[in-house]
Amino acid sequence: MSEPSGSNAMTGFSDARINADLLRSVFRTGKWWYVTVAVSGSVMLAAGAAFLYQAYTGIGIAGINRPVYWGFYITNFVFWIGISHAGTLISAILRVTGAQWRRPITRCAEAITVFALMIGALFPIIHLGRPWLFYWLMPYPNERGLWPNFRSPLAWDFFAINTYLTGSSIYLFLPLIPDLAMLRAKSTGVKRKIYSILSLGWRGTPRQWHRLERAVQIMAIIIIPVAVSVHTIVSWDFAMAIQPMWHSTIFGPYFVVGAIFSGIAALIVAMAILRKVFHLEAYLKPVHFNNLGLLLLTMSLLWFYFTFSEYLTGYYGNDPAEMRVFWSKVNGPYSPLFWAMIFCCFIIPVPILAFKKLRTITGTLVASIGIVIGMWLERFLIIVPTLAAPRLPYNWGHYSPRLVEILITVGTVAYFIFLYAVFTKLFPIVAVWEYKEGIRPGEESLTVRESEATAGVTAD
Amino acid sequence: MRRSTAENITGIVDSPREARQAETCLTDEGFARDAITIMSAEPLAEFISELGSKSPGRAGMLSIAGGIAGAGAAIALTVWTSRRMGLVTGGMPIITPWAFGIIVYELIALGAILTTFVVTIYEAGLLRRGAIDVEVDSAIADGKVAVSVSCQNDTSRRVAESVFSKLGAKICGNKTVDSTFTKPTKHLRGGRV
Amino acid sequence: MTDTKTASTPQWGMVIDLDLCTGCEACVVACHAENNIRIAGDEQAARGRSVNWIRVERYFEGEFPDVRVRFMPVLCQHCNEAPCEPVCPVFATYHTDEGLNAQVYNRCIGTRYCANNCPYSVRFFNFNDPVWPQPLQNAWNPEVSVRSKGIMEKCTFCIQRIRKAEIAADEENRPVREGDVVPACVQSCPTRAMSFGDMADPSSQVSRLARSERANRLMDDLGTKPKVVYLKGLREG
Repeated sequence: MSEPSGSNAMTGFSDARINADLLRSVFRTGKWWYVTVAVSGSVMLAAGAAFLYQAYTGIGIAGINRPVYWGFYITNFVFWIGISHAGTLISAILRVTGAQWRRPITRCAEAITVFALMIGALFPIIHLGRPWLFYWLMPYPNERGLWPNFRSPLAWDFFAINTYLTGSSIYLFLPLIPDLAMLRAKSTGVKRKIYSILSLGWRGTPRQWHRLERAVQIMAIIIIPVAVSVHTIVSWDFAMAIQPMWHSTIFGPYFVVGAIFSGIAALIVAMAILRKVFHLEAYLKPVHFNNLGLLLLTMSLLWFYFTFSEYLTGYYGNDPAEMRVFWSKVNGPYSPLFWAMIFCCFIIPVPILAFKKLRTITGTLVASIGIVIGMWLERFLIIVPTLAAPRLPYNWGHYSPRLVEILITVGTVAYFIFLYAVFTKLFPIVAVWEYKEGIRPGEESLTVRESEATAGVTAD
Repeated sequence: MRRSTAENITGIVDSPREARQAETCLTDEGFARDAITIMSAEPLAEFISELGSKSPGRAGMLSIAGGIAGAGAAIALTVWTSRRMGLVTGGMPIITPWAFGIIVYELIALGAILTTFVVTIYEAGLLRRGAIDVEVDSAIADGKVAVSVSCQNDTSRRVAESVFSKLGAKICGNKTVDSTFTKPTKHLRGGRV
Repeated sequence: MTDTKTASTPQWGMVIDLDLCTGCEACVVACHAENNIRIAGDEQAARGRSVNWIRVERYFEGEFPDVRVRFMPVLCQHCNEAPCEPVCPVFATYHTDEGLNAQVYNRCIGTRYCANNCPYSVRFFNFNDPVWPQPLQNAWNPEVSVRSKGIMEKCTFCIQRIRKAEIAADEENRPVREGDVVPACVQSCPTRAMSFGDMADPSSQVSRLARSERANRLMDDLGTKPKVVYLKGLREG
């Protein structure tokens, strides 16, 4: 605090320079932003139209059948809810443990959480046979004796996802308030009015800062158990059933680990793209990718441990119905997907992430893309092979997706990109105040890692 | 021109250290600690910890209370309503403690989250009507620190202005005011915010 | 709407004698006719969408020329601890006082969790609106609703016939008699392999057959407590 606030000894960046860099995405729009929004917007609308057509003609245009009643839509549901654990890990766990390197990436991660949850929450509606009646899952007073069944894991899903979505949105919004105040100061006209309203009259007094930081701390502590419970409850959609290879006690922790795993991978992909597109090379530094890469390595090993346990115990159990599903995955019709999953989630990422020389931004990006694809395959392989091989062999079937399912899947990815693009246009993707708080010299918050990272960086 | 019985004079200084100097000078000149408000675009650790030890806030306790309220709501929602509805189950249990416990867990978290949010908004003095000085706002956004002091009369105003000019702080007059929240700023008096 | 089960409430059950079943599938046809079951058509059937509330499963044992065929009619077992019931989020499937696993068509929103949890694979989903080639809609049974798209359906033990018998018995101020309720499949079986009746009445035919040496239930090690009893000869062949 003995420095004039106009410059920073570590990076050599002045306050004005930091503001300009981090707020540039809000105030200046490049051509590619319009292109991104236009393309993702149109794909999204096409998927919306496909869904409306499906609701109109019946879910029969999708590939699901008897006995595989759940297919792409539920795979996507679990996948997106899994991706949403990115923000929780980075923002909440790293905040609670006091890891300073999290500062430039918290908002990026929290935004991923909120948008992934919004998209994940759509799929239980998309996959319904009668989607216009989805509100029957809500307990609302009525004259007809209708009430949801609280014993059903799908009813638990409703409460869990809504709680997590509310919590994540608030957790995204609270640290955004001071940045909204900064945007208010730097905008004019209608934009200024909107930011004024959104920033709720924030002035930046010590009292407000104290209350805000306290609230963020409390929220971080609350949101971690909520996140763990949400994906556990989603896993219980399967584990509470009695089907072979679904009714496994390991599913709760297995899915949570898989969620954090895929979440970090998605975060790395998003960060790499943002870094390139918004020229944030000085803020999203190799050390961040390195640290996230180490976390990703840990999660990959953990994921493999759980997967191995799951399959080995099933194999030793030798239950005939389970073994049919097991073999269909390991060397049967689903084996190409199964081994692709093992490749993408373990065999390729672990060497890349284990060696420091390979754990560069490009390296972690390659590993992460593989992991995102591999984890989608993992969800698919949990759902479909079990349903395709029911206990009575007369009823075995198979599943292949149809155009509407593929279109809606791609459409939700486009929706995610769209939401993200709009978000970066409205708000700074790096939390400006949090970043600046971390780089003040003399603060006890400055860790060795951060100074390592900032040393040698010249202002360009 | 803001017309109120108390006026705020704001001085813009370059660093937290200078803001501390200004505060000391002002208190030396007789202003109450409570009448001085510091505003900045980043959290200033010393000022925050001072305030934190003086008034730690009740967000923690109240969020626990919110969690308990959430648990109560969940139990009412699941147990009480299921009993009242008289649903037919042919002998299968309608009240399942483990399953309902999951919903109770989620609503405890939701209660705590919402309470934390509301209590924070209230305790931080957000969402209250009040005008924001545009010049001060943009100075803060550029990294400067604003020291605002509430003056009861002309003498104290002049004293404050002289303190600021001695320190080389830029004094903010009552120029363009953000009219989003346009009622007179009663609450800015006394440094509550 | 609360449980009104008393000592005299019938608990419906079925017995199927596998030694008498010839695999003729008359029960399947009768069920289709009685319950307005949709016609899937070639394309939909190839995609795994055909609906047969009762089906005859056919398993071949051995190699030619010592091949043996086993026939097993499988229908909804109306399990006493049905795995499909706790997982429906909107209570579209529930257990009635009379021991039936009831499916409420109007309440179903089509999550299909119940079908995924049924180990007997006896639940069928309406993926599209049914199409009835003219003039087959004239064969509809007016006592059974036609299900539209997005709804789960399965064997109901011909609940419309059960209700009819109960209403008639009520009007005559007597309990439902043995043989009053005959579901379509039981009625049409040429070898009389199937019987239906009140399991709670120890003197009914189903109760007596269920106590036979040859009685067993399908996959009852899963703990579902199915109510369909299969009689299978102790000797092979």
